[in-house]
Amino acid sequence: MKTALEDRLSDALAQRAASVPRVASERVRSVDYQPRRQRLAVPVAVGAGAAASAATVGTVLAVVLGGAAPAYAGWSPAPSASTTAPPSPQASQSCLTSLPSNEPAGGQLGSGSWQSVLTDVRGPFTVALFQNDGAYAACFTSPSFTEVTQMSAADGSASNAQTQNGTVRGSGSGSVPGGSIVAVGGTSSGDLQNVVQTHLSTTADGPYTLVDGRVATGVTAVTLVRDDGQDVVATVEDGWLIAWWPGGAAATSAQVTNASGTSTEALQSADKGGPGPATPPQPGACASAAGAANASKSSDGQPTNVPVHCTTSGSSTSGQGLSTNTGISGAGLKSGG
Amino acid sequence: MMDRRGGRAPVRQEFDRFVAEAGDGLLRAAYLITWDLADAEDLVQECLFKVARRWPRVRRMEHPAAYARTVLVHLALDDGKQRSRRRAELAEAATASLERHEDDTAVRMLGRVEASADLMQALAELSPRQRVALVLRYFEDLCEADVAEAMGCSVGTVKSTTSRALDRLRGLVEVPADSSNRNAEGPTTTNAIHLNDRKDTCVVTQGLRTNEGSMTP
Repeated sequence: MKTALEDRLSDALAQRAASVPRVASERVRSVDYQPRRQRLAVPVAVGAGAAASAATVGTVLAVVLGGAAPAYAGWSPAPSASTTAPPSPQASQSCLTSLPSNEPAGGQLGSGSWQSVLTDVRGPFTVALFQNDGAYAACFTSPSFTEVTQMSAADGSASNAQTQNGTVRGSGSGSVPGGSIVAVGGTSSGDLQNVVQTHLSTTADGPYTLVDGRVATGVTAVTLVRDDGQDVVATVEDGWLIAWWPGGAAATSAQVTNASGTSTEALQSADKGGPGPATPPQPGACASAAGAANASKSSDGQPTNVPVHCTTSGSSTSGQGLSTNTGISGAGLKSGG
Repeated sequence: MMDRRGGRAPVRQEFDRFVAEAGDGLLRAAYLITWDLADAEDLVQECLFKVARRWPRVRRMEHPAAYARTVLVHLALDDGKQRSRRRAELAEAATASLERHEDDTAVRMLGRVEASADLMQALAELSPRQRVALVLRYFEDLCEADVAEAMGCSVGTVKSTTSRALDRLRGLVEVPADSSNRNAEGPTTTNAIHLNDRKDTCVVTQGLRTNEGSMTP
């Protein structure tokens, strides 16, 4: 039995609830909440692919964690802006503080100051490419983290361990869960070159995939076609290519536009006719893949060109790499914040 | 978005349908809990982002909307102290302006504001936790056990919280001496997420259980 107060209370609450304006409901419905398609497996990584070139490629991942944010809300399959202008001062500062100004002795990731070459903007997310005299780096800034993927064509191992301003760079051996770095290579025509596809995951925002590389002169546009059927328009400027998307889908081909038109080309690994694009991380595969890669040899006893890269995910995201004799080597940076 | 294999689009469409069906109810509940429209929108969006990230499991629940409501309540309670502090810092004039606006809206829509103004003011002065309990009981029309599950507390805590909230309201508003039951059919809850026919009987739980066990919001 309800009292008079309870009756009045029910009426008052219903009355106030009815005063919610329609525009507020429309705002709630208009947000892209990016529902997950399937449950996430424990993020473990395998890099299955081949080296983009004869030179060893070094990778450094750096993550600076920020506040919590929705998972890649606002991302779009086409860049909302692409420009050769440098990223915003805030993004630049966040990136540059994550990039080491000088590699430690024996490092392979270039030196000198970093110069911005290309910026890709998709909603609240900015991916900026930087270049120094021996390497380039893709810096991904989101509302909740900053991540730097640093690549180099120099020889040597990037698996040095160091602590720098509270940032720990992972050692170059062992296997850790978190993601994978895969050198896709490019297209048979050479329109796309040195393409690297990186699968990563953060606890806060979930997995994402970053693709960067070079395009041939005359290429004006590239649309990457993923293995889930979705197209993602890449940012292409000054011979550089970059694109990214939420989730672990892999790019399988590219629609390349140049002066003679648009053609679809399969992405290939650099190891002579490999099927090309990498597969996203599979649970438990990193450790076994590392062993397989190190044990894999061709008939002449030489190691096969099977790079294996594993990045780790601790409280959120970090990177760590495995090195093979002819493949990509990598190391990771991690910083909680 | 393009989807050649039909994998992503159905999930998105399914979630969009869920938002279309449950969004208004969540927003109204959030509005009653936070007592502030901007806070309510933030709360619902944060709630829906959390649900979206767990959608593969939530979609298999018997009552995804009830799960979303539980997420909403937890978020509201987690943030309730901060929100109360912010509200206390508001200038009195700003608060008065807000209330005038609400009253005007209510007059236009229902024409009963005079009878409810004092109660509205009293509700605004309750703690978020007390308002959560009242909203779940008297707007969502949940039984005490379901309120307890949504709030993550015991039934006894729900009873005491509700009782204290009602006592405080009695101290703030004029209540007719006649406390008999004048509405045996229950409160008007046309905007709520209805799960139970009667709030005194728990018919349906909060939808947190899946085939794989319980799921903490």
